[in-house]
Amino acid sequence: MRRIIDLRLAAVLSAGLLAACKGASYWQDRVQADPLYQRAAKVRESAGCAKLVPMEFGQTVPVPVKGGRFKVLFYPLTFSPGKSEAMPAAIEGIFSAASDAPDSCAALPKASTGSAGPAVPPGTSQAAYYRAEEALYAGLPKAGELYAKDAVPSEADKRLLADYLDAFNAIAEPGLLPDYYRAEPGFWEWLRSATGKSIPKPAA
Amino acid sequence: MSRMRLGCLLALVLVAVPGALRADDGKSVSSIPGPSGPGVDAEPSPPKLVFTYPCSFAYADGKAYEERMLDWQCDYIHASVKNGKDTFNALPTLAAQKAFLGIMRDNADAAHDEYIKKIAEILKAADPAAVPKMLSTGERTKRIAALNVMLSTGVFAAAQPFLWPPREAESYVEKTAGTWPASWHPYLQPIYARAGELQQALKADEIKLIDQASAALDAKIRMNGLRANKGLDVSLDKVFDGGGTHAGGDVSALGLAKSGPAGASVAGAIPVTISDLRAAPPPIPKDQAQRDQRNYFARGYEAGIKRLQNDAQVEFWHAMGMTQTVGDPYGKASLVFQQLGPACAVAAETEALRARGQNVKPEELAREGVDKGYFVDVPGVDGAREGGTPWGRLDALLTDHGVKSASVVNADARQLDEAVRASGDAIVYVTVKGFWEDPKQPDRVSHAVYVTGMEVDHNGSVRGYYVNDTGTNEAARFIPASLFKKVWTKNMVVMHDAPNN
Repeated sequence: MRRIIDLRLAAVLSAGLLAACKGASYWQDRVQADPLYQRAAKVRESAGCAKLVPMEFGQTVPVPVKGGRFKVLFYPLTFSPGKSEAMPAAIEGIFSAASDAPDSCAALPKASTGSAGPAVPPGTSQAAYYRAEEALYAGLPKAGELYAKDAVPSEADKRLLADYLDAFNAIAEPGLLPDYYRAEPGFWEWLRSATGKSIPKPAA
Repeated sequence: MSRMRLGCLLALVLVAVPGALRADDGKSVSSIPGPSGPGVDAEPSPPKLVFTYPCSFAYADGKAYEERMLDWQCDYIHASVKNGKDTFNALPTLAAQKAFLGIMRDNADAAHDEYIKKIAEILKAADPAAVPKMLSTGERTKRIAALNVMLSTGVFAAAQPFLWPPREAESYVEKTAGTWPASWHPYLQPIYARAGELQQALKADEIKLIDQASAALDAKIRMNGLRANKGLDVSLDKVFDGGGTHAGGDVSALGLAKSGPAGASVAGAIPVTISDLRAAPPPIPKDQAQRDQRNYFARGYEAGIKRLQNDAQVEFWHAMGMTQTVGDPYGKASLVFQQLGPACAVAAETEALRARGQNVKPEELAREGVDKGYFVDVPGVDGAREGGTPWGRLDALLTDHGVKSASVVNADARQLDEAVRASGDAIVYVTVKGFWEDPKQPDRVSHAVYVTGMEVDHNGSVRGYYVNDTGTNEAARFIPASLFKKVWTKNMVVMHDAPNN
């Protein structure tokens, strides 16, 4: 019996190790297959956004908002090989993963026009980025669902939310954290109260 | 010295003027003399100085200023003090102006000494002769490329106190070309020769790498040509039907023989049925002009090597008669250029219009886009312009220029293939992170590139696409279908009118 358990454990560990060793392409394929990822990628081409959002703008990962929907932010981005520089978010888009409600986009109040720094946390490899992105999208629907219900998360949910936040911090544009917070303060504060961790509240 | 600190300095000068007035009353607190005023002997005020750029100081009555200001001292004032000329001219008295000039001259001298020191250090560090000759060609290429970057960034940083107008991100909306202002040249001059040496060394190593790849490929083709003495005599007429400017016809319309020898330059290779080697130059070009257009190493050494490998693969396919090029990617390589600012869509449209014989300039097209509301133009960092073209406006400029076109969301590969067969080109959006294989790019950023052809095998399957990328100035980059599938956002602009070229 013990041997069976050991074998199972070894199999699980091997699978984990294999997954950890996968290259960028593997994780890229996984994240691209995620329905929420695919849905978020189409917001800027939707009827409500197609004449407002430049294709060359950067797009943040989605943030859950009340009502079971998600918000993405669009920001001016300077990019050339080996370099990308974000500027504060200029437009927000709202979409629903589940319903047929149309996407909408609106310009945000004029923010400062200074640089918000690199669009990718420094030192993040291609594989680490896609792996974190895959983890983020894997946890995002559940995080949104729990937030929509204002639920008190179970221990398992807490672990999921912690993984989600780790993944978020691994790929979110570091200089845009205040914009992420302002996009849905309620979500970040709910996350803080639920798990003890969140992104910093920006100075007023 | 930063603008803020110089602003403070200026404020000090202004504050010092009333101090100087008090000095006239016998309570000296400053050595800066002030103007005549109430209670002071009523001598006529001397005319103030007027600063005109570039570098002229003269009295308001037209007399020349007795102290000569050097060009770089003027540039320093202009570059280091916000609205330097206007601020100087607005100083209330001649004495304040002279005091200001004295202080600024000292600061400019110090900054110039620092500049000279830094430039000497940079030139020493960026000597290509210092890169060991024993290194492999690849390693040398990497090191020389790094020196090139260091030279460029270093010299701009060192010259910063003198660069007027201030450095801004390049943008079509702001200015019409990416040339440096004439006032910058004296400060960048010392590194021109060294930059040339580095470029030459880099080019020599890159040529060596391309030649090595080419020679290895020739050997491979020769070997396989000898081996592949059977089974390659397949008819490809049907699957290669179509192809850009040659659309609508069969293979003969492509200008190719339906059968006959191909790869004649490959000694020992057996004739294969169809190859487009005579219709298009080989994927790894021998001539320098085509190599320059391809710009293999624009994204660095590894990316360049990967491109060479991909091109070698295509050339091998051609030699074996396994695939054929649809479209004219090598002819259209000359259309590529380096875009300025966030204008990839405008740049791709420029290429498409030029392919149709319209001599448009990207800056004019961008301006037209702004004027018509097609191009969203927003303030960027340090006064630069940012923005881009929204999806809903993507084909507007093409339509306005008489090209029947349509934007397609959620397109599939079949639609793209049909578009390339019909017109020889298309504009597609790719995610730049995967397309450039660049970890510094975020996901979810779209970049417009110009598809100029594709490689089709005898089953009719597309093995990959050829792309001109104005973001990196790379032309005829072959993207294997497996990579293309990952990076294409499934959005494209189809152009129905065939190019004229």
